[in-house]
Amino acid sequence: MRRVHFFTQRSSQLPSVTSFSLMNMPNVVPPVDFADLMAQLGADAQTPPTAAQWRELTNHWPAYEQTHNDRLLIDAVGEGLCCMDQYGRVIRLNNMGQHLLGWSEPDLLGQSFFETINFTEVETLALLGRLQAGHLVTQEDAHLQRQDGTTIPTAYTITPIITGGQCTGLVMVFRDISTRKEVEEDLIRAKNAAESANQAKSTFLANMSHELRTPLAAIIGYSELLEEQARLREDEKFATRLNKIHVSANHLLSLINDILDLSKIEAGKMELHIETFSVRTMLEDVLITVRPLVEQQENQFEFELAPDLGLVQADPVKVRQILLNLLSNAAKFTQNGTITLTAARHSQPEHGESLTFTVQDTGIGITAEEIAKLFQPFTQADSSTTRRYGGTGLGLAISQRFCQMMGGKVSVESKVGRGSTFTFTLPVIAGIEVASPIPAKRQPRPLRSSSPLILVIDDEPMIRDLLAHNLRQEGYQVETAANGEEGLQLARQLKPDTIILDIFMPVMDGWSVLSALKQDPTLRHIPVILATVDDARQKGFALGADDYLPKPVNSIQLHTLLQQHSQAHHYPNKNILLVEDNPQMRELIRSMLENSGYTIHEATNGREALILIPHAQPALILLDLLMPEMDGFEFVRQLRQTPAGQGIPVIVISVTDLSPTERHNLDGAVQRIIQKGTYNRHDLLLEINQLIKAHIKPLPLP
Amino acid sequence: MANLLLVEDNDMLQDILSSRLELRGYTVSVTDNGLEALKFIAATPPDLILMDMSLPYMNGWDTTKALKKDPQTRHIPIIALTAHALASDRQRGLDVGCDEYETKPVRFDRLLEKIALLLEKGKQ
Repeated sequence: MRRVHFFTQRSSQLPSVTSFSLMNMPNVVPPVDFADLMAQLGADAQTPPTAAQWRELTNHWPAYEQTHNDRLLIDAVGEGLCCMDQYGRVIRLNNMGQHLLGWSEPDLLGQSFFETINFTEVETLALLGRLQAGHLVTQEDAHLQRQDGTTIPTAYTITPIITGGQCTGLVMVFRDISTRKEVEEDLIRAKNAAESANQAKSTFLANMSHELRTPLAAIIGYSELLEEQARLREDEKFATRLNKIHVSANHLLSLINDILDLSKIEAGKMELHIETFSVRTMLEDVLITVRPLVEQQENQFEFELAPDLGLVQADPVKVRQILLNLLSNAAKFTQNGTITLTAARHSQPEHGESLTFTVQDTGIGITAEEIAKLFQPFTQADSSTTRRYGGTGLGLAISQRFCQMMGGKVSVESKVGRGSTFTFTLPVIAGIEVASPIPAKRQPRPLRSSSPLILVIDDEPMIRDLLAHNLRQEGYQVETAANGEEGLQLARQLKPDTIILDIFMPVMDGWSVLSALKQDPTLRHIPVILATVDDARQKGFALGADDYLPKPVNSIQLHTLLQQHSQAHHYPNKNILLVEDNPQMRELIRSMLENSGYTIHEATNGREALILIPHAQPALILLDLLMPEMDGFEFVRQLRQTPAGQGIPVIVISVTDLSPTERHNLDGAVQRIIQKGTYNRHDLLLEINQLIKAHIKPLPLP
Repeated sequence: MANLLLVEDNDMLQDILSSRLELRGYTVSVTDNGLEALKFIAATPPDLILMDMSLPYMNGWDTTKALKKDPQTRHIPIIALTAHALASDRQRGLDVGCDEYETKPVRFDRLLEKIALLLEKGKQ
């Protein structure tokens, strides 16, 4: 009776029943005793109240209804539920909560719940702070301490009860997540097991492939040897059979190599060996290798190489492998068609420079479904393709992964029956991600009648074509001769500006041509560059050759030589302003450039350079960044503000790697950034030549 | 025909390469490490040396360096046979004084060309 009265009194003061009524009570209140209430109504405590009794009960005892309903509600919740006052002292703990924690409600009443479940004092204070400020606190994975000292993994939410702008109590709902945790742990274990199995598989494959290659090398070597011996004995039948062993073993070797590559990639053991190399030289090498293959099925082979491909920092072996793969695929699936290789360099303000290679064929094409699987290893859409066309079907998967390792990507567009275009992008400095390429076709530099004429004399048609192609791309006029006699005749007719001469030729060799040229007073003045596998520069110079190019011809060297020999009148302004505070560096760069017909003006800091510019009128500026008085950054900023300084190309020669901010500051204001010590004379000359050319307004056509 | 020395530690490669060169008319001697090669060359200097780089006891780089330092043997052309396809490895070979290099597995036709050229050059 006393207790019921107490409840009635209290409940009449409660402002609202939307929240747990008990929440507003400053002190812990024990739950209402149902039997006690029933007894007051004269009902039997053992049997449930009748509807009439219930009505009576609820009419007369709103507080009982309130507390009783609360009780029923919170016990009906299938998760642990603890009602607390604003300080975290337990008012109620529902059945599930008692079950989960092993505590019975009366034991905890008035106790700090958070301390009970083993939160530290600091944690508790922090938690209460957040809750009293009105924040909900959720934890997905927490261990609560049970009565017996063990813990139980739970996910919980604690909600502050806000009444009249005040935190008047807390409700914590917590859920047992041990089953979920077990499942999660099982999954993680399974995933780890799968990954280590996969890793083990890849490692096994990598080792295995290596083991397979050793005996295979013997099979290949001996079958080759025996085949030769059989041919010497003129036992053709025997030789043919041995050749079959040889060809099959080679095929097997290429399969093993592909699998080895792929398993190395998947085992994370594939390494990049980054070098700085000339894109054009690499492409020339690829073209020579792949040309016979491409032309095998009556295909035309065309290439469009932009003149400004320059240098790239990447793994040359892998770049080569990717290109060979794309080209040999094109060759494999094309008959009586055309295969076109294009290469261009792009500059994207946000992504730096990148190279784009495309290999376009007019072959059988690929369906959309096949494209989806094209780059996946071991899932080639139709394994009959592999059977019919040979290969492992792994080439594209490998190419794609190599490419990704270097920060680029391979993509494809295709129409069945019309052909396919594979595009391969590569950042100029490998490892920098680039956006998808902007396809751009480079037209060869337009010819002017004033362009220097180069005569190429070489008996090897492919070299002749390549040289001629390169030279035309660079804007030269080219004539070719297939032998010495023809070469001499053309030289007399055309009076070329420069002659490139091969040494080993049938009928009349290069030496004889050279002597004849140098003895003819009308031809004597024409510079002759020897291009030959023979390192015979002494003899060449003795006979009057002006320069020498070792074969295979490196187009950078070729270009530089031609620049030197085709006379300065072609590019009238040869002034270079060198801004560098270190005297040794100035000396080094001067020595690199002074034999190339350039005039070098020197400044030791940015301020001096700005003063010098109107006098020197440089065609190009070579700029150090770290200098006293005015550094390179400030110099570039001021240079670009003067009308005279806007158009002058700038090459930055930097001693360290630039930070992204520094790069950004220079972005757009300078044309190239070169690292000190990473370039040689040819590279530097090539850069300079290209930039000067690019910035010179074309001479008016006559 | 010229006398060649093949320095190679793998029996099978020794056999294959020397047999194929002999079929082309060369006289081929074989040693299987750098030390033996130096002793052999001192006694019977060959016209050209084919040098594997990964050799036991004394590797190809050191052997080449020693040969190129010695005025008696400096003139003998050396072709490095290397399993390493990297440009830096090629450079390493050329730096110690190799006149040419060929990457393994050897492309035999190319190797023959290189041998012929180096021998021809030696005569001049």
